[in-house]
Amino acid sequence: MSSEVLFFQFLSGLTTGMIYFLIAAGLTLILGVLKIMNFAQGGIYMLGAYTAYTFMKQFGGTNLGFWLTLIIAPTAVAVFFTLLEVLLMRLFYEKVALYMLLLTYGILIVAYDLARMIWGWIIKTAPMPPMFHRSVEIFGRPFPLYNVFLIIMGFFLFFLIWFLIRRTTWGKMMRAAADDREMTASLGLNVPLIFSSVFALGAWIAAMGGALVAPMGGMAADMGIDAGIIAFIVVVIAGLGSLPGALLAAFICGEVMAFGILILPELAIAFIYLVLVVVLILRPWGIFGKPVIIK
Amino acid sequence: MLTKTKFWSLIALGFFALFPIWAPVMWNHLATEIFIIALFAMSLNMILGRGGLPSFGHACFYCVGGYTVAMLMMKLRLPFGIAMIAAPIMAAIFAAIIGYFSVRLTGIHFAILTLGFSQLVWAVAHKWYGFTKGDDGITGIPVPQALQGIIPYYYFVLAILIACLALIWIIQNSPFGSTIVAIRENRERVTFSGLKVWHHLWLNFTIGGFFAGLAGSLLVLLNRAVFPDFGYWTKSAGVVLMCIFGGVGVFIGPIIGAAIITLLEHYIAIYTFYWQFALGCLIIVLVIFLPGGICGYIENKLRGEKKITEEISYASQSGGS
Repeated sequence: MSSEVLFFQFLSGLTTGMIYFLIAAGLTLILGVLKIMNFAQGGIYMLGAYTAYTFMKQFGGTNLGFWLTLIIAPTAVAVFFTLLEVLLMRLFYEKVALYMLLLTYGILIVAYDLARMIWGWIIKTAPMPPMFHRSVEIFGRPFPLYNVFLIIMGFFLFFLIWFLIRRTTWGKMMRAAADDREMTASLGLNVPLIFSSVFALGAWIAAMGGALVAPMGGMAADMGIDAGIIAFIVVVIAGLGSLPGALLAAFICGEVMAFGILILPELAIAFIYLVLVVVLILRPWGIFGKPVIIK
Repeated sequence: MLTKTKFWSLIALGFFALFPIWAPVMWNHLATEIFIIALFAMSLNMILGRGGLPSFGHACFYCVGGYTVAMLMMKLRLPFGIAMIAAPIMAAIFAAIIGYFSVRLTGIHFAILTLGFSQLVWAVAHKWYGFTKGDDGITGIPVPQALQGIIPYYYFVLAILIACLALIWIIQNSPFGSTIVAIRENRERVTFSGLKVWHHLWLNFTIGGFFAGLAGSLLVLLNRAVFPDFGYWTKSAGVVLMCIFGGVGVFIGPIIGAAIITLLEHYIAIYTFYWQFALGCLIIVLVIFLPGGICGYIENKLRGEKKITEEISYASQSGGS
């Protein structure tokens, strides 16, 4: 195998990894601050993709339409799910973790059937905007321009979230609430509001991930259920709530996928789970997480 | 109270013993399936309800049990009896391995770890065509002459279910079972009293895996086929739902939950393709209005005491953030 092929495979792994990161970043945030294993995250991603599909079709597949979609679709989906958070999930923060797991699972399967009702059972693909109809040459081989765009967008979103968490007052309040809810509340901060805003951001990122993936290939309602599990793997490998960890873990998964296909095409997805289990056995709290072992 | 319980158990036993005589064949099939799923839910409740550990990977053992019976009979051509005995043991071995790493954690971390392990098992079953035939599954599993036809098989499953329920009842009312509940209620105190919390939970997890494996092998013999989706995480979430729906604090809660949800799935699926939508709405309503499950609610009403609620909405300790 020549080094060109390997490099090309690396690039394709990078693209896959970026998609994984987009799916997992929102969950990382929600898990880190709200301490919810949000199964609905996959559903948000899936609805983001479908909503983007509808808008892109409405705008006739133009460049402008594409950019407008990227602004409108994730926001619309995020608003919808934030309403759900305010109306439903808020009731359960103080209760047993299991009920929250079940609730988000319920929301996921409702979203799944909702997508099938609205958009049907046939696999859909959003139109690729004309400006991305080209590809760039890397080592004399074509690499889709859209994939380059996706990788850049992924890094952009990573830095955006990182900036919001680390360099703004809101981020500071959010980290305080993640650390100690009661203490933060007793300082006079509105913790439920902070939680809702974190949830909104998490949902927006997942929906944005869906919207960005929409022109790349077929979408079906069960992509949400599969994406949910990918997000979960990435987050666990990373360590609950670690954003840089999520980026690294997403890349590891993407590359394992890309090179796994070269070695044993059948078992490529199983390799990811293997990485997961090795991490779970050696460091159950993930690469960047804090130990949680209770004796 | 005890005599009342005995009375109603005998009524139920008599009803189910005579059920196939008047019921149509399709109902027999459905009832057998419900028995199997009830056993599966009961096995989870040992971990979830009694132990207070939210396992989201319980379908893994179900899947392992099913595949063990299928592969021993199809690949190695072993007799039915050996395969049936090997299946729950194999599932228990898997449960011992997974439990070894998982039971040290609680709450959401426990859920994540069990989910991760079960997904690995699913991925192997789903993708390793050479070994498990991948997502084609294994079909055409032979069943011995005596169990062919739905009515003999119905009685076979009923007998196993009753035996397992008796065993689970004994385990739950033994000192071991009480220790598990004590750990759920207050881990630290049990540690202080000199008991090895971790060993108890590990053993409990393994026993749960054993019964789940048995349920899996029974379902495979009912359908004469096994597919990787037996172990997919939606299956694990589904059985957690059954336990909660029935009520984790009551012995027969998971059975009631399994029966109602299986019947609902069956009958909603006749009217609409979108039964998941209905199921999801049901979950949401349930979590909000019936946190103790159906049996918890009824028991609460019967006893007319408010104290019970705390017992039923178990695991106030292990849920924390």
